[in-house]
Amino acid sequence: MPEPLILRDADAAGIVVVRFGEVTLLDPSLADAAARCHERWGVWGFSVFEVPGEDYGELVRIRPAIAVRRLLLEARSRDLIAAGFRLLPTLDHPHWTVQVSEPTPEQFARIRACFTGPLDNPTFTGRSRR
Amino acid sequence: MTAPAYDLTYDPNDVDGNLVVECWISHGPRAADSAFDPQAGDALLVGDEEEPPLHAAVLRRDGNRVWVRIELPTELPSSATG
Repeated sequence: MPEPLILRDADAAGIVVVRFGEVTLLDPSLADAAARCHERWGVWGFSVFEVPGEDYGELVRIRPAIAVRRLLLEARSRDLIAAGFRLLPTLDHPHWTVQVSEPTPEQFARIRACFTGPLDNPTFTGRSRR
Repeated sequence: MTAPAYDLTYDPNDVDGNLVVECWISHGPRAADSAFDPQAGDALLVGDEEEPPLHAAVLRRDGNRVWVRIELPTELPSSATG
């Protein structure tokens, strides 16, 4: 049974969100993420982090695990909202869930069109295979 | 057969400020390994297709779902400060 979907009192307008990893917006990754989201809350979606004040240094301070990720994909909330996607302020700041109507390749392609990248993670200090 | 490079797949976008992340056995490289039975306190490796695996400790398990705390390399920040 899904858990209650509890939302923070937060406004998605004007924020930058990021998804770490080069392949995390490909269909298999989004399908996995959407399945986990649906089992947890009963809605289809996937996780992103808000970049507080567009300051990646602040983001790595509150989410230190991002320092081991070399690449990221970035979107502006206005572009996601204009494309018809909802941003849900789930869990604790800076976590958001981008809600999709259904986990289909067509929806995933529309998601990818809202993101730019892969970009170098300016906070990367970890090991890399490359 | 080559052993998988890590035990559980994790989504870096789901790791919280305390380095805890939920993983699904069914979505990982050991999904078909009937001997894989992670329990609280176990040490294992989490990873994905992009970056080197990370050591992690199992915090709890609920069937297919496993919560682990990731251990970052020592030169990296190890915890959130606020």
